[in-house]
Amino acid sequence: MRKIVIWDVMTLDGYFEGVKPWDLGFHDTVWGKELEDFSLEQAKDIGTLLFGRKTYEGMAAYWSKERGPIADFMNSVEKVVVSNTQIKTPWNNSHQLDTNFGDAIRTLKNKLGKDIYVFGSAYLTSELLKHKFVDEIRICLAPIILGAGNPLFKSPTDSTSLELLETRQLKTGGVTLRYKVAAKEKSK
Amino acid sequence: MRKIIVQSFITLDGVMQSPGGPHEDPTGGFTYGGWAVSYFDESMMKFVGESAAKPFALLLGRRTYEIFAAHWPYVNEKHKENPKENALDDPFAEALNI
Repeated sequence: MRKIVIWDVMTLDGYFEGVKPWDLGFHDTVWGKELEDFSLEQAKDIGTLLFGRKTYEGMAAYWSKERGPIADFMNSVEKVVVSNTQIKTPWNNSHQLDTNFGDAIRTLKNKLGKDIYVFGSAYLTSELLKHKFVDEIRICLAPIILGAGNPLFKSPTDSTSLELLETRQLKTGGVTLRYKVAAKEKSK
Repeated sequence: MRKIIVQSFITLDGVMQSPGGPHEDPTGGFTYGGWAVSYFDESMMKFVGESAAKPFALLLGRRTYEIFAAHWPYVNEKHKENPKENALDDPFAEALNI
């Protein structure tokens, strides 16, 4: 079965974006050669990107026009969008999840291939956590207290125990944290 | 000039309420009190011990002050009542009660 892995840059006070959509200026506090290498290394394990509507639409608009190794990856990899409304924004190799959420995610996980990654998409992330579909959470903790913004982990929800797999300190001051969702939390 | 250092236990989603036990701070119907206890291992105690080893003053808001004041002076008595759950040689208790 394929893993579902969450990957986000998060501020010390728990935000993955500022007050306005796509307000990601704080990424500058951690972005650099090390994180770029980390992203490219991680990309080798990605078979599918799973998005919520807002993140999908923003990513589609941005990456479709970009060039370079990360853009090539983003534009060619399979992308699946979870949304109750019809998605109209086109993007190469993308489609919308159109059946029951739980069944559709189970089907996606059971397909052969590389792992499934979720970027941004905070509501989808919370929904996946609630249904115990998440296998791993990777966070790059940005050294900033943003003060206001959009929280990555939506509240209230059930608590989830995590096992720390790895920490890495970046020269920029960021820290990458890799957690496995604890075995007792996983769905049978 | 002395530094002000903020030290806190915090969950990945930013919760710092009631880390030590369910009765510490159930404000707002909080039912996860004591969530930090299972992570109090040797390295955690070492970290707490080291941060309490140097001379320091503690600056607290009212709620945390009241929780601390009701707990830390009685650690020795609590140890006598229930030695398994209440350690006597707690470095933080020692530093706080001097």
